[in-house]
Amino acid sequence: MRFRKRHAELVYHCALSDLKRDSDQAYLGMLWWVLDPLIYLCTFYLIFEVIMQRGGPGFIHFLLTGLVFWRWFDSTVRLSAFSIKKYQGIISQVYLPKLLLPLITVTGNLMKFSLVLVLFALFLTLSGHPPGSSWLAIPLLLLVQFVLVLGASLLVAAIIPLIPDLMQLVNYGMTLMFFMSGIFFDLNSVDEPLRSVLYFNPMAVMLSAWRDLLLEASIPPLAQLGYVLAFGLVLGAVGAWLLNRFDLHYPRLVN
Amino acid sequence: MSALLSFENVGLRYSRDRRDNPWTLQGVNFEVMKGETLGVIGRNGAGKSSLLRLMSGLIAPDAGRIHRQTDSILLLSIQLGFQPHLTGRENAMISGILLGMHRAEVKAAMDDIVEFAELGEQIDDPVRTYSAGMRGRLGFAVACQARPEVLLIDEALSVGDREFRAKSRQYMLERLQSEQTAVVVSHDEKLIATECNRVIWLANGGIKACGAPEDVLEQYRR
Repeated sequence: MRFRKRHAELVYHCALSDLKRDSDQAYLGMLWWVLDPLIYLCTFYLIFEVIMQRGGPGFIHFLLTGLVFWRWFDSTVRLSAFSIKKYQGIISQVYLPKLLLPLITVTGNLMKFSLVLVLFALFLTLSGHPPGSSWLAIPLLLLVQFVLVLGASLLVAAIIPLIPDLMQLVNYGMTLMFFMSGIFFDLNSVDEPLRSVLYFNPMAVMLSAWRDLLLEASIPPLAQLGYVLAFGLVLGAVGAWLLNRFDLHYPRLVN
Repeated sequence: MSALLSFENVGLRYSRDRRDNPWTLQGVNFEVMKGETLGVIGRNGAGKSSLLRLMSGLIAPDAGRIHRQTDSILLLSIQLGFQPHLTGRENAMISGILLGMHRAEVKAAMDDIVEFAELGEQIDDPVRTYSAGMRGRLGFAVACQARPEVLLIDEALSVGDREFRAKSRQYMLERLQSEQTAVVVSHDEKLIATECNRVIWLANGGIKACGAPEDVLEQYRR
């Protein structure tokens, strides 16, 4: 792979272009970045709190924390599967290191998520969870989750063009992960040994860490964050290796 | 004169697509010398586009080797990466970076691009509001700014109305007659005869003839 400074500029401009297209394509434009998770949240609130009455005090905060950080992971990884396909026309005309293509997706989603995050922080502040000294650890958690999001995205972006059939597996995997990450139930209420098994899932660990930090004002165990970080790094290393290994092969894939 | 690019027994195989003869290119040997304009002729399906993709380093050969003295080898592409929702200026930026320029270089060249493309204030309108001719002119104006060491041109790049076609053709000819090293793939025998120093005739995935334009073209016409 041949990297240049202009490649960073390209990632930035292409990510902005994607965001601009999102906001151009609907009448409500950028508002959808916020409306979308909000509607998502309302659906879950309706099902679990109103219909099934499974909630309880603080359920909405519990649910919202889970959904906000899950959505960042979920939407980035799913979109990354199509990163290379999206730029097929371009990479069959000029050389680009293929690693750049998922980076465009990851960067664009990070920009979107930042807006949601600011609004979420505002919501927490106004609803009884004001900023405290524990919030100083937010950048650390953001970094850890970013590495996980990036790692999973690189891997998915590298593999799906080579073996398109795996997309089904990714879809099922993401759904399964969604149900097992403790988004709408507390994993700590699950009995051992199942609980420990569920915590092998790095997103389960991540969501629990965010709740510790934002809702309980306590610093999550660093060993757990280290586990998520290592998980992300391994996924990312494999993904980057594949993207580099097949760098000159991707343009030859038709469709 | 030194070779900027040389092919040594290069073969390319799209095994899944063709069963009878899987080799798109086979045993291809040639060099591109600094400063020359090399023409490539051949019927459709002879492997000309594959040859350009190999030269620009988009794909790797399945056999043989390609030696490059430079990384700066560009297949000239018009409207590369254009998105209808972006303005002409934004598209020029992305296209320019894709064609090998830095953001600062595209910015510095923006006035020239707008002038060459004859777009005026419409440069800040979304490209979806442009006519096909306007898009083509902008694409050409951006592509003109690219300064690769080896320029690869696939077919005559004709865009816009008659006047703009003449202008862009004139510009291309000046580029070819300069120190620019270039490889031109074209069916335009007159262009090949007048602008190229050497010509390669590609047939059935191999080089059938190579040499002075008049000699190769004469064999090609028979």
